[in-house]
Amino acid sequence: MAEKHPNELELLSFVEEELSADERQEVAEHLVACRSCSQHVRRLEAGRGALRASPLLELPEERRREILAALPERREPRRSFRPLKRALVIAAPVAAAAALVGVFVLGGTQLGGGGDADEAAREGAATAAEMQAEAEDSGGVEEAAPEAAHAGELVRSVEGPAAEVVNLLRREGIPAVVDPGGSVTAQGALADVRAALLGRPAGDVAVYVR
Amino acid sequence: MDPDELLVRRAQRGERFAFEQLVERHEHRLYTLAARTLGSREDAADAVQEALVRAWLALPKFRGDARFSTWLYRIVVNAAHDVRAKRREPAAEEPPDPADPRDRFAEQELSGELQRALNGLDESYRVAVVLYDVLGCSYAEIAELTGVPEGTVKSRIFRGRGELAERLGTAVEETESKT
Ligand SMILES: [Zn+2]
Repeated sequence: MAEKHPNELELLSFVEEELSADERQEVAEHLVACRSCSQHVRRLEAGRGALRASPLLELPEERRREILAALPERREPRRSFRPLKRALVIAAPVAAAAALVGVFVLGGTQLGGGGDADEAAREGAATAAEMQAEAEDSGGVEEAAPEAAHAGELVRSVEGPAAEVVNLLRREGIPAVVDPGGSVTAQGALADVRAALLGRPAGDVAVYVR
Repeated sequence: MDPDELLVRRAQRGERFAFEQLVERHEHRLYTLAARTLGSREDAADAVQEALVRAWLALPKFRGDARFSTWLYRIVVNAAHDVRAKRREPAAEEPPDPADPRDRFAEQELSGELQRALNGLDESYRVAVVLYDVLGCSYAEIAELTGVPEGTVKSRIFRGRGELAERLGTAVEETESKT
């Protein structure tokens, strides 16, 4: 058997073709003589082959939509204005109007180039897009509007994360959403919600029912 | 150049639509990472959901030091780890009910030889080989997102692949001898 065995990293580099020509030659010669190392190499290649032949798994379309719909609201520290309550019914026209304003202001500042106005325009455009997205989101889904968040009755506060609490409830057939503030609103009978949360440790995610 | 940069900047400013496009770009890779790590479709979807909520909330703090995909993978790896830990806890308290042998979850388990072999690996090996061989990450990216040196990453790939091949029963002619 040839002098000393290449180490793990050298064998991996050999298989991945990361060695210089000289190093490569050296390892190749060793492999001819060493059964143990050539077995390692075959395993590395077989493991790689099996993994690389495996297909990407697809997140079900429906789950993707649920996930996006349940994304919480994010506090934007630099946002200069934010409507306290939005009626979803008027969100689309408002968004369209805001988008127009955004484009108009943006167009104007390209000539003058004022920093603040530019910033304001971007904020305006972002808000419009966000509202647009929210208006679209709320389209087909059975969920409670976030505005109704704390109109409900507090069931109890359980361990987060909120998205997991929502999933737990949904698996029990109870519609639920993450509220803007990070609490959870469920739609169903108090007793059902309480039962669904029975095994959940106490925590800082408030669960409301309405 | 990070191909996601423009969308990331818009999503950082609060544009949900930009974030949704980023999700569409990466969702299958994120889901594959979670599913191959957890061995369950349902748990994987939960982990992806949790990860995307965290990503959305943390996005303003993303500095672009790493590629956006690397940043997302790290969040998914952590979320998958948390989901796994949560699943274990109740299982210890409540012995399995023979009347309910998790029938409704059965179809959610990932089947197939590869997954069974992966399930037998140490979590750190599984994460390393899935990132490297399935998702095509570099050693450096994996080192960054798992928080270990590159040498450790290589060693995990070496062992992960080797053990996987052994479990799959391929390329092994007979008993092992030491290195
Ligand atoms: Zn050898």
